[in-house]
Amino acid sequence: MEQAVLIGVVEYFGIAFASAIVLILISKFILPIIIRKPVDYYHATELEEDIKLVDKINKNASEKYSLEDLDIVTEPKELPLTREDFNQIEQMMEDVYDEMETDIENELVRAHALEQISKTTEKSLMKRRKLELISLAEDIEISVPDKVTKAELVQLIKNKKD
Amino acid sequence: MLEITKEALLNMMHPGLIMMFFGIASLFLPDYLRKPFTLLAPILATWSLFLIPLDSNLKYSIGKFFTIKLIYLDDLAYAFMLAFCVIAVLAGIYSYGTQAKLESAMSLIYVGSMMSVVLAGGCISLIVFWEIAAIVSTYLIYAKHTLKSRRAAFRYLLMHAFGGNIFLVGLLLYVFSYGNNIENIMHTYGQPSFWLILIGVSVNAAIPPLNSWLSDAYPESTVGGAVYLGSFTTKAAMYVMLRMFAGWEALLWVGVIMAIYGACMAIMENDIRRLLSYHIVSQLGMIIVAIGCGGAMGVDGATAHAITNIIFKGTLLMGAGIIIYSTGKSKITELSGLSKKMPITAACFLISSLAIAGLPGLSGFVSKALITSAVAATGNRVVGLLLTMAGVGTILSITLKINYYVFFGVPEKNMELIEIQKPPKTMFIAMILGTAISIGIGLLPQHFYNLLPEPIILNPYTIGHVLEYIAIFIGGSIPFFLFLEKMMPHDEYTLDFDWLYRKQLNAMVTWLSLILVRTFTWVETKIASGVTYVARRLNNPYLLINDRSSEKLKHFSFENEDMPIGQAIFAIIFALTTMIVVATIIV
Repeated sequence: MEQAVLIGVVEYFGIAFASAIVLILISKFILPIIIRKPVDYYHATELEEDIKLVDKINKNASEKYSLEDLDIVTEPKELPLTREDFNQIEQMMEDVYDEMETDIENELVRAHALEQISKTTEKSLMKRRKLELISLAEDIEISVPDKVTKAELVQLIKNKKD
Repeated sequence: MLEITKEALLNMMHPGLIMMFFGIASLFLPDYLRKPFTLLAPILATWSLFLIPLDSNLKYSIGKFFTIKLIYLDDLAYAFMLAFCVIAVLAGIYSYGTQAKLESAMSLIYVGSMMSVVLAGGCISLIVFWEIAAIVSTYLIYAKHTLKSRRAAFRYLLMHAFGGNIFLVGLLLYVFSYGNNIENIMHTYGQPSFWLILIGVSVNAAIPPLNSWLSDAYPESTVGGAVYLGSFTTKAAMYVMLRMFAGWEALLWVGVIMAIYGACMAIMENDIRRLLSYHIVSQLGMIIVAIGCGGAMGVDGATAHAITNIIFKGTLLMGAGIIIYSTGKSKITELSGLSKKMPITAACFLISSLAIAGLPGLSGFVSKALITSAVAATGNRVVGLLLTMAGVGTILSITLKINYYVFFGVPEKNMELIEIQKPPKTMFIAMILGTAISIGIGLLPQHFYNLLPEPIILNPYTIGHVLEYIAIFIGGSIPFFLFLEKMMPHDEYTLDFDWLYRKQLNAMVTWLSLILVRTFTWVETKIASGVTYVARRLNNPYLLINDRSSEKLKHFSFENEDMPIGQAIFAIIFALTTMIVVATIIV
């Protein structure tokens, strides 16, 4: 019985091996010659026939038709995106993001600088105004203490005028 | 009319009609109610199946002579119904939330009509539900709403309309001669009804050369739709073939050629779902071989393999659907190394593909054991060898090819997977359940065999049998790796028998339409010019006379304009007649 089982196993192994070889020969070497076509085979051939038909109709017609008139759409071939395309798009997006980031940083620096400038300008303007007021006070013979605020200075000048 | 009795009420628990009712009702529900509602439908249908007693009869009589038998449930119908209920539940879970309203409704109606085909007690109810299924299943292909799917749906509908009409004529001829029962029709061999019924069923059974609708339409359907389509139409056709053609020896050769043809085409294919579609053809071929064997083992083998096919093919289509949902790709040339990113899908797909190959411990081994026993009993060694060859084709095309190139093989250097969408969890749940059922059937064959219609005694797990299958598996795998580079598919289209009607018949119809259009245009032009000719001459009869004196009359006018002489004469006669009638009445 064991011998019978072993013979059966070897037999089926051989059958399977030979079957696989035959199927691969048929499916990968013989049939592709006959029945393998481009992916858009039917669409391309239908379009060719539609164009021939339209030419035939237009040959004797007084009013010529275009493919669009007859709703025959020549669909643009949308090629699938490859890995290289995705990588390229990803790289482009990264470049754009980098650029945006740099621009944003520059803007922030610029804004900060402007803020600093405006603060400095304001300070110097205020200082200048105070000096002018002190000079005016001295002109109208007001004794100006060492530490005096601008509002106190203005009040002193007003009091003197009054 | 319907008999309303207690038995009748139980008999009225018709799973198919329940599914169809739920399908129609779901169209009127808001989304948050519709989704659980549509999942409830197959569960209720399964429950109602358990309630229907065997040998139920639900009939509806129209007049004295016409009776529609809606339920006939015997062991064979019960086995198919059980498989249909299980896959309906799994498909409902799988497509929960991914199907639009109309698609979901059509799925339920489709399942209901296919269940009704299996439960049909007569030829008339069979063909009615058969046709309903053909129409509503078309929408599952159309529902993808791409140009390719619309065209594929149209071709699908044309093919099924052709097959359905042939089947209808055949059934009507049979019914008028032999009665309404669905039975073995081999006693009518050679008669027109026999051939017409065979051709009609062959369309749905995808027997070459009437098979190309399957590989044309199924890959263009939606992700959920493919699971429904792959599980019902062809298996219902197998059920009908079991009823009508069991034991016909010619089917041995038809089936085995079909099995090898499907395997060869699957080996060549690049698109995953198209590959699985061709493989459906191959598996159907094996079932048809079992039908051809006849006898208890043949009937049980066909039933068992149909049931296991429903489950593992459904699971494979679910896996393919998850890949497409996640990546947006369906071509093997665009996918590789998915096992790391999709481990659950890879595992379930591997197990189901090993099941389909017949590896011991899984469902395919258990069902194929019956078929090989049935073929051995016929003594036809050639069919047995060719069936083994078809089994090796399964190993090459699905078990090795898809698993190696899509899941477990070395990924190409630049091929990093971009996940477009994360699939819903329900897809994984359904796929895992399907895989578990395949394993369960494989581990508990006797329980599975108890569901089959004919009592049989078979132990598939003999040492010899197990070792033989392992030998087949290893023997078939070695050439795959020897020809590894050649086994990689190409991104090209493989022609099929549909070339005959897509090219030749298309050209014929186009030229016939052109001739008819020209003829009718010519006829219309002539009629129009004839009517114009007569109308002008009635208006002005002097146009009939073409001479100089009539020219003056033709142009006679009080105001230098053409005077319609005919109208003037008519007006005068009408006025005179009216005056005479009024005068007569007054007098």
